[in-house]
Amino acid sequence: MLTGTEGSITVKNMTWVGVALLVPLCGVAKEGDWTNFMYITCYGTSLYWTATDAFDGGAGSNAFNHAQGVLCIESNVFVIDTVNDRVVKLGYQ
Amino acid sequence: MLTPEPSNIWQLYYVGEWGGTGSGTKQFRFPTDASFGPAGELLIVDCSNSCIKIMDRQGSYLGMIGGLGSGAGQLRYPTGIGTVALTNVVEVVSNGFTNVVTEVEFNVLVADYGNNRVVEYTQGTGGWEFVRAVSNIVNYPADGLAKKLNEIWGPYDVIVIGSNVYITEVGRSSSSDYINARRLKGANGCNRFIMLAYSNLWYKDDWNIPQDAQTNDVGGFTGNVYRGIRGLIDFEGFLLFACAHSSQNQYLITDGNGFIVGKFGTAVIGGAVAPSAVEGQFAYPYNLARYKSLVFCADSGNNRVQMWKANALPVFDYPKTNWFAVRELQVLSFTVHAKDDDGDTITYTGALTPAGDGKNWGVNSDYMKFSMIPKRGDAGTDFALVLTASDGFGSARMNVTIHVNPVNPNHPKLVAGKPGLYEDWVFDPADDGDLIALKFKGTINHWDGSVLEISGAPTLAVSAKRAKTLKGTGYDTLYGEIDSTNEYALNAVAQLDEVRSQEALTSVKVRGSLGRVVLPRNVALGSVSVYGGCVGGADAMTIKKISVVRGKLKNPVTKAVRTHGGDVSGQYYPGGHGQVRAFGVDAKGASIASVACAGGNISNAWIRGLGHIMKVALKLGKDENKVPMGGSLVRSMVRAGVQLETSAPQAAGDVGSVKAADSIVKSSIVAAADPGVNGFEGTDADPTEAYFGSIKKIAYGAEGRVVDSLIVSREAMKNLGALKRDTNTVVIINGKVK
Repeated sequence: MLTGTEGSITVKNMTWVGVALLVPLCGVAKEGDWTNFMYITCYGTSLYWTATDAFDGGAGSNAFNHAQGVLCIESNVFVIDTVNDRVVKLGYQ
Repeated sequence: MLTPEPSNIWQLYYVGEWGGTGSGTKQFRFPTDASFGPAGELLIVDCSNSCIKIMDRQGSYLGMIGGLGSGAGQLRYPTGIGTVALTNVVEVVSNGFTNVVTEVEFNVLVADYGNNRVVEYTQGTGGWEFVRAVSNIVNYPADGLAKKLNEIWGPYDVIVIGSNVYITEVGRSSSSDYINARRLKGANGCNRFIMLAYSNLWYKDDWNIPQDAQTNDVGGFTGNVYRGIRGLIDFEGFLLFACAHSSQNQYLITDGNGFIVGKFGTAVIGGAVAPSAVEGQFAYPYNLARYKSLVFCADSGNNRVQMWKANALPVFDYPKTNWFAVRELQVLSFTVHAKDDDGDTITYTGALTPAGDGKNWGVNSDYMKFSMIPKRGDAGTDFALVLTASDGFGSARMNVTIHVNPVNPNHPKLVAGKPGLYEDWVFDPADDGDLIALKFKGTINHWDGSVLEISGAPTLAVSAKRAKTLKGTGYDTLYGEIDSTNEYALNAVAQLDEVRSQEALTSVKVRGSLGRVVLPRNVALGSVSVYGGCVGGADAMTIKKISVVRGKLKNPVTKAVRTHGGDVSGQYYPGGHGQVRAFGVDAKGASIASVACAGGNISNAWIRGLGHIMKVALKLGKDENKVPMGGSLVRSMVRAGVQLETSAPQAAGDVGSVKAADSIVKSSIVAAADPGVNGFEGTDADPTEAYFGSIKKIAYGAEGRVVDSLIVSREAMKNLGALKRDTNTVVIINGKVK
């Protein structure tokens, strides 16, 4: 929060007005139907878990081990490769 | 509105990695989630190290948040992280003036799993600073049966949407203490959503079954749906979250109040579905992330990341109504358009039931035009038009009803026939929905457009109204009934059997043969042009010009006939004669100004004018080898002062000149009236003066002559004495053979 003084500018009064509407309000109907999710592709070895298998897809560049997190931007996808204790950076092509 | 993602990112490839097991600055122990900081840095939830590691996108260590403990700002096995941007408005006094300024503040909320709380941090000038934490839900409703439901147990993930905080609570192994309609007693293993007000973190709602289940069963989304809920993100105000329990293995979509609106992943609700590596199936899905319309899912049990596209289905915005009324034989035309929020290319289709005299046509990817012309007899019919707009991933549908009313009683006379199949439409550049051209096979009764193009069966018949241009292709019969006050042109490719117009025609152009052009006797025909074919005839009061290029002129009725390398001929109809006729509207009658044939012959033709025939001229032409050709008048008649349609005596007309570049063979050049069936007896007409007209000049080529012909005139033409003629040629001057 903004407090104190900065140079010759004095903060006289500070009023918190709420959360910025950088995201739409929940429950408000949106144009179009955004609930139609289509499978595109995947990345990873796809060695999936079964009752008798080890819970391990490997540690290579094309393998994850129980990756639980993912993050993406325009140029990259970051995979939180949980059991391998690493972050794997992918690119688009 | 989202913008389309780049079209070339449908595959992923390995770029690099960093980390490793440990507690060092660049090491992790069981990382679970991540988010971006205000500068685009990565905030990685390092669960077993009980902190948030801050790294740039190349893996360089920038700092950390938290640390093991339960004190202010400390964490214990955090699992999820969410971000929120705040706008603070402050009044600032500077040099005696008060200003209102806006400051943007970036905060993160961390699901502090091990401490059973949610912790908020803000990025201050000195780094990330602790703001507040919530573990006990303030103002929780006192229902009397709840057991520690006012406590947060095992929060896995947290996000902020608008003014609400959403927490996925997974720490309760049993929900036997859930009490009301949204928290069912006995919903064993069912996790809970908690919704708090961001401003004060006070209670707003919580649920462990879908909101829908209170009032209806939404596609099977009932019971223990929220089992193993994990990663949670905001997507256009909807909640997207993983249901990682082995009986779920999918992502659910709800609105902010817990109403289920969709899901993705092919696992079946309520069934014990084994994890699968099949495309689109999940095994223990956890966190997810979004970039524009793409969603990436950590398919942890399958050790892979799946890419999904959140497709915005097209939404129709045109037409604005789904009900139209149209009369029989009236054109109905409207634009069909749908918008697609993620920018996919839309393809349109349409189906009309019953199959009627209509067509829908995709002009391009931006819109489609639909038009139809109900037939006679369609009155009372409600056509069902089903429009679909597909973006390649899904489609929208619009049902339109088109009601047909009876034909306009003032509609002009129509040519009988059944409407046929339209092949193509053309709309005007202004894109206001007006059709300006139409191509079709079969028969059309009526047309209100500007350009009509016809192709198809030999039996085609067309009646056109207010069409500036009619274009026919194929062996068609084109009846151009044009009743507007404007002047129009008819164009045909191949053959037109007949053109009829009630109004003046500026031109008739045929790339082939033209059987006949018929206009009322008080209506003028501008010109008839035939390219590579024949003209059977033309009837009109005045015809300025008939041009035949590389073809034959067969029955022209005109003031001026011109051929260029073609013939004026009656041979087209076996046993018939070509005719050049000029009608009149008064007693004097109309004249034929000229009949000119360049490079061709006039053969088997009748050139007849009720008035005078001013000039008949044949010029030599040259064939492709530059050999002279044409220029003869053969087996034809040039006669002024005759009209076959009447039996009364007629006044004679004069023949100005007949000039053949070659010879005049087996033809008659007559300037004499037809006396009618009773001759001139009993009339006041002077038989001598009335019967004969004059021929001023007959000319032929240097190598030509007059053979087997008849010349009748009131007085001798100037060159009669020098006329080269054979003995079979008869010349009658003022009733006497010369």
